[in-house]
Amino acid sequence: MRDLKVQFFTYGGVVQALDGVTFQVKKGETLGLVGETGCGKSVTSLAVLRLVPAPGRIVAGEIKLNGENLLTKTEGEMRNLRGCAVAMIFQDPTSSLNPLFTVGYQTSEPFIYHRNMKKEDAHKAVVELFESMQIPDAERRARNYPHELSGGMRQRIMIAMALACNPSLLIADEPTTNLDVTIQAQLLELVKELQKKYDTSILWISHNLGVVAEMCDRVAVMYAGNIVEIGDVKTVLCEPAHPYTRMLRECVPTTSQKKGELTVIHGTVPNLINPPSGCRFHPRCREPLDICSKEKPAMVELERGHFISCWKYTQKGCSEK
Amino acid sequence: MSSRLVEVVGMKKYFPIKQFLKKPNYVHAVDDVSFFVNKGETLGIAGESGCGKTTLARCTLQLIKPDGGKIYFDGKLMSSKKQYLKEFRRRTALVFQDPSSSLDPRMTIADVVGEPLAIHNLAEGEERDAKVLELLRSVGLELDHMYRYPHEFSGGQKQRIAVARALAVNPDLILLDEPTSALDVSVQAQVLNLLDGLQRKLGLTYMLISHDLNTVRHISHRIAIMYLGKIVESGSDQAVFENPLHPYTQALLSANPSPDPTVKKKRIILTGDPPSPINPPPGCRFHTRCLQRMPICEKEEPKYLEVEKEHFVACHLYD
Repeated sequence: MRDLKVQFFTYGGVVQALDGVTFQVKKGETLGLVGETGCGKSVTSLAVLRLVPAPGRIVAGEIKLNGENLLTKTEGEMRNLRGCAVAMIFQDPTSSLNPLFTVGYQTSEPFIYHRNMKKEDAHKAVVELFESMQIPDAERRARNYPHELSGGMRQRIMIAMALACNPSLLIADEPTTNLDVTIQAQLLELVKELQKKYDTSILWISHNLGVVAEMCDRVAVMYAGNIVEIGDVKTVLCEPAHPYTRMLRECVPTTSQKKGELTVIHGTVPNLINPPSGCRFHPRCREPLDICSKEKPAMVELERGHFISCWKYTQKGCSEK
Repeated sequence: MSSRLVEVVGMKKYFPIKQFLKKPNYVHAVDDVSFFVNKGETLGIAGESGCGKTTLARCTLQLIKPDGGKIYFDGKLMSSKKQYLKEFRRRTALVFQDPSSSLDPRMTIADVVGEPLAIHNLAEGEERDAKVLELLRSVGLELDHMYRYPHEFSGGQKQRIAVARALAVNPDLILLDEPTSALDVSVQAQVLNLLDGLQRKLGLTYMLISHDLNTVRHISHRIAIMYLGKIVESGSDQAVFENPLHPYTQALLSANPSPDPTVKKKRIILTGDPPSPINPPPGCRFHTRCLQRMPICEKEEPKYLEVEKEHFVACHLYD
């Protein structure tokens, strides 16, 4: 994805939801996307599927999947891709499953539409798929309706549905936020295993740094429609360079270290109709420079594969060179 | 040792599920639970959803009537007489999970925060306004926020208003029911710092309910872990987090993802979902998912014993 801009044209003004977002997800890797509510995580994922709801529109940039630009495709071509080459797991399985159909039928849909299977064959494929999902008693579960299943089981069904056609990119939008930690742990293990088996790339969206630390190979930190830092999980979470990432890391209480005052990021996420000039984080930053409020910092590479968009490092990088 | 503000012995709450012409079934939401809260301390109650955390808290505050057990508040046995309850409610307060739905959208902030003062005849007229302003300032809000409506505030600010309202009656005990789970991490830190500061300044006692183990650890002095309507383990925060004894606590802590990717811990993966509280399994309720199950676990319910000093566990491993 390169230089993606998404804007929502509302009566109140133009919301600049994404302002030049660039990242790649490599084959077989998991890229985590973290940030606060309203920073553009979900819009990014919808943009990849070209499902940005009206009045939103993708105004610039390009999205490439396996070398093909998705933005020039017709709606019909996109339809063939969705659920097949790119699939998505949503946050809330209760509202994304249709309560009127059995989960087995719903999961067989991608087989019927994308693989042109007959109903009976599709049903067999679904049962096999459920078995590989470690759903006990798969044959019977396939005949259940969503309300008959527990939250963890429903999310398993969602994952099964997403993986039905063996997609090359799986987008997981906060898939475990509504679940209990023990169920969450089960699912994380399951997704990791399946990823190894199918060699799928995953774009993992979450606001839980803990989950990201366990699941992802690389992390991108988003703030107000911009990616401010991107790099290897270990680098970004252990030695964060951007002030926002550092503060985000410090304001989360952990079970291992004890008490004391938590770091607080003052203020709230800015209104994106009128985003702050220059670096969008400067009103809340601990160590702002004069230039921060005037110009937007460019992405610079700190180390190999560790990119950051902050004036402190841009200037240092220039002087070091 | 500090004195006990609340002590609960053998509390029970069963919700009936009525069926036409049939005997009703019961949801065993809280089953024979005993705990205590010391003055000036925070008791954290952690557990998965549906384990009875909220029911336990509501029964403690007499918002729903428990079906059995005794509650002692400040040394006195709780009674359900009206006069007693009014006095009791002046000394306790609640902060709910979702600040948007716990503030009346048609009341200004001054009315919201001033309402408890009016109900308990604590202040009137100008005095009330002055008190409201003082309360708002103590949670970091200002005079110009007073005459606005809830929808004009962000989630974090609304939660501060809810805290201000809880403080209005000058309570001894504040019950926090998932106070930060609807908030972003940066805002969550603000609210947690505020609660921590208020406790130190005013000597408040908190009962914190949360499924987020990090939050519980951060502000609790003592912690109780619940599973299917029972407290399976309780003790000081260090005892529970650094030396968990019950297999469920061990699994719960190991499942909690750590934001530090270099920490590679051995995870205990529990299989299956928690069983339904309508027909809880016989014996130890955790035996269906326990990895250290013994034959006795299916038959006999483990007693809730003090294994170490002030560290209680209900498990046959420690009989």
